[in-house]
Amino acid sequence: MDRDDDPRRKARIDGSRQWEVFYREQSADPMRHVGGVTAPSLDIAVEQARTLFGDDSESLWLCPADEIVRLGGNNLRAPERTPVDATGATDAADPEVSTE
Amino acid sequence: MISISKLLCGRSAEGDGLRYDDPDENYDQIREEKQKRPVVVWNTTRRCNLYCEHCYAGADLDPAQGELSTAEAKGLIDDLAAYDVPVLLFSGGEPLVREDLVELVEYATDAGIRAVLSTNGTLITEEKAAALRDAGLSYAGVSVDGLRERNDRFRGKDGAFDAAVRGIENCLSVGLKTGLRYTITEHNAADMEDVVDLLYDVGVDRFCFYHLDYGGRGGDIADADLDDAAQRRAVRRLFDMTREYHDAGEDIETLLVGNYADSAYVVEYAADELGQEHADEIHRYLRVNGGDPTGERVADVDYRGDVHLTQFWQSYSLGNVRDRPFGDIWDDESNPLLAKLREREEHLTGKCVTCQYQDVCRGSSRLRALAATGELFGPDPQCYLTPEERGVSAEPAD
Repeated sequence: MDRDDDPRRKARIDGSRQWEVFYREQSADPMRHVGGVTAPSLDIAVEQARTLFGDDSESLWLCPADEIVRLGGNNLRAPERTPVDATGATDAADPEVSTE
Repeated sequence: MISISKLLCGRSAEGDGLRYDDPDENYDQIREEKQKRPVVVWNTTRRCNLYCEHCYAGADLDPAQGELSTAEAKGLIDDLAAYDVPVLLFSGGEPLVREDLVELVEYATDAGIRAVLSTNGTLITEEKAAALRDAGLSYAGVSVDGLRERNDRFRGKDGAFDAAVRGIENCLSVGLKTGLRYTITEHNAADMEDVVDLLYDVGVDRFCFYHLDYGGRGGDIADADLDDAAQRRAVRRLFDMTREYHDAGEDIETLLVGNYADSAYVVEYAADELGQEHADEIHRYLRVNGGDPTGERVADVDYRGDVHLTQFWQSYSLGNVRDRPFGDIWDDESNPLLAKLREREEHLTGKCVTCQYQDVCRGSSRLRALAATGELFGPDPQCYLTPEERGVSAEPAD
């Protein structure tokens, strides 16, 4: 997928923006992705993230979701399912192919 | 989801209601084991042909970027099936604006997931209803929020009420189980009973009442939420109406969603009206699988693949199914917010701390608490229980 075509980088149409949130509880911990907040401005996004994670965090980072280049991920494009005939047999030559 | 008819009217040990919007009569409503996998609401699209005042998804007439394609939607369904998700609620926006809806319902059914639909009903022709039935759809919940004039004003379109009723009739005419979805606000609480009577005459026998949650455009009309006294009146009227229908031999199903103070109130009501033994039985049942399901028994995937704690809480996402399979996101309790929500009893503050019904309410909506107080674990502003009902002699200082 071309990076500019990645749907995870598309802006929302309601004028709000999504910000990915990264969190670390202790300074020795790695930064960890803890989801994203959607807000009309950075200030509101920061406020939301602080409300959700602030009490325990040593650090919070916010990054606009549409600025992140993502390589890899979950391939959602489902393989075609193999049709099943009335007896329950499949057309698949490979018996390992499940119909369910 | 609290099945009032089944708790109050003698079908309390069987049925379905705790399965989110799933009316399958063969499934235990009040089970002896806690539900292990969430019912998933999927906002199939952000597009809608109406513009409702309370829409939690902020749906719009224009198409949105980044919607899951047909192939991606099938991949999502495969992920959900692999995670043993029991029910997939096709929602929106308006799911019927997606041309592949029937194909996806059939795909989910073939994958072993029970498919149910949340719709405004206005686009359901008899042919479409038959196609959805043939695809394996188990249930269609149609939103109507008042009698004709009030509903159309609320939904932003003249004729929406009549079109929704036609859609309901089309579903019923092809044998597709169909019910009402009704969000209660101060604008339409007075219409509840008339809408039930009208739709019962049409053939509807399942009525699902939602309390307003403060997500999306619902947050913009929070001041239209019922006050405590009006909440109590509306909920009590629903209890009474349910019993009146059943006493007349008309076996309607009524459910309440979104304010788990209702769990406590139904126990209190049963103690007053039906006796302590019946009330204790209801309380025991609700303990098993009751209370707010956010982040546990209900999940949401939006039109872009973002996973939310509940469909109403669209402003925060746990992750995206284009990055990780749904089950990996849902099981990742290294996310401190998700972990805290799943042990929320340890974090609730204010009047929830000492409430004797915390076990069947669990603090109710965290989203409403956040919107109203800025405190994630503060009291839900919709809690209408009195100190006596909560089992305390006076309000604690918050």
